[in-house]
Amino acid sequence: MKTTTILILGLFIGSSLTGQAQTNNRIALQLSHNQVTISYRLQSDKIPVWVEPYVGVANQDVNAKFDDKLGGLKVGIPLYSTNRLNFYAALNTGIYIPVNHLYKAATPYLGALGGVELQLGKNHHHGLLLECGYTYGTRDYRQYYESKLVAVTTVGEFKVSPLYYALGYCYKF
Amino acid sequence: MFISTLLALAMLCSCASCQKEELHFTQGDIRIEVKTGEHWLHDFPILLGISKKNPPQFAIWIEDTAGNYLTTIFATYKIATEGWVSNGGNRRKEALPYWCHKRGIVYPDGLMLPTKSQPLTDGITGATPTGDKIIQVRLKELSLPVVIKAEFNHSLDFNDNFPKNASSGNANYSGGKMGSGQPAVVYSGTLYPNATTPLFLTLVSHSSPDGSSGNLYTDMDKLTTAKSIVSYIKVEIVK
Repeated sequence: MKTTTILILGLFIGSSLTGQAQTNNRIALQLSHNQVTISYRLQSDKIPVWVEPYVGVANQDVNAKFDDKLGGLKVGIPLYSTNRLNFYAALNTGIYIPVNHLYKAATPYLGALGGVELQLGKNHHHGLLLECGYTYGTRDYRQYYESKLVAVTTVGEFKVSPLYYALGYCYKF
Repeated sequence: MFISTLLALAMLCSCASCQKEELHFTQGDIRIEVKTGEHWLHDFPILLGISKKNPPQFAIWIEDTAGNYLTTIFATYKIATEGWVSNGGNRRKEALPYWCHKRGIVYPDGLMLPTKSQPLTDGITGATPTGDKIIQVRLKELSLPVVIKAEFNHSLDFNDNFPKNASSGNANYSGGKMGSGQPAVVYSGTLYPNATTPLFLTLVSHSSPDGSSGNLYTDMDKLTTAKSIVSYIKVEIVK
C-alpha cells in the first residue's frame, strides 16, 4: 500500500514537472532473479540529466522469499544515442530492507550502472531495457538468545547483492 | 545544487553502510571463533552450468562431560527452519545428523530435523556466514567444564568415496543426487574452568553419511575437502 502511494505520488510529481508532449520521461518495470522494481524517470528540461525514483520487492536475505523491500534513486546521464538505442550511465542509491524474523538490517547502498534502452514502436513510446552495474551496501546486525542455561550473542552481516542487472520494459510519455 | 544534494545523500548512505556492530566481552565470557577453511564455500549448481558459492550448514552446541546435550548455541538457518531451496523434497536428514540425534527431538514426520512450522527455538538461528564467525556465550545455570561441539556439512560435496550415484542402503549413500556427498564433520573439545590457553576444537569424526543414525565414525581417510571446511574453532574464556 505504502509502495503504491509512493509510486502514484512520484507519477503525479513527474507529470506536474513536465509540461511538454514529447519527453524522455518514462515509467519502467525491471526484473532480475532477485528483485523487481517499478520506476519513473524524470528528464531535466535544462541539463542532460535525469532522475529515476524507484521502489520494489526483492529476495536477497536469509529466507529466500520475495518479501524484502527496496527504494531508491538513480541519477543518470545519456552517453550515446542512435535512432533506436539510448545508452546511459547512472549513480544508484537507496535503501534495502530485508524482511525476516531473525534480524532487522535496513541497509543503505550505493552503486553505479550502465544501461541501454531499445526503443520500439512507431513513436518510440515503448522500450526494452537492460541495465547492469555494481552495488555496495552492507550492514551488521546483532542477534541475541537467552535461556536458563546460557546467554548467546553474535553479530551477522547482511550484504546487498553486489552484482546488479535487470531486464525491463518502459513506456515513454 | 541538486546534484550536490544527491552526492551528499550517497555519501551519507555509504557511511551508514560502514557502521560496524561489535561484541563486548566481559570477564568470564566464552568467546568462540569459527575460522573458515579453504573449502568453506562450495560450488552449488543453479542452472545451465552456472553455480554459486554456498557456505556450509553448521551447528554449535554444549554438552556436559558425560555427553548429555545441554543447549544449542548457534545453528544455521536452513537446518534450523527447514529453509532449503532446490532440495528436491529432500529434508536433508544427512546434513547434521549427529546434532539432530543429540537434541533428540522427533518431529511429526519422524525425522529429528526442525521444520518450517516448528523451527529451532533453543540457540541462535542465523544466516550462514560467508566468512569467519565470532560468538559470545555467557554461562548462567551452567558451570565449567563443558564440552563444546560443532558439526559442519556441505550439500553436493561429492568425492570418489561418497559419489552422487551411490545406492540407497550402501555405506557411502549420502542422500542421493541432492544429498551431502561427504558426510558432516564433527569437532569437539572440553573447556575447563582453569583454562589459561585457548581451546582449539579437534576434528574427531564424521557423522552418519545418510543421516540414519547419530553415530560417529572415526575413519576420516575417505573424506577430502570436508576436512578443510573449517580452518579452526578457537574457544577461550575471557580474562
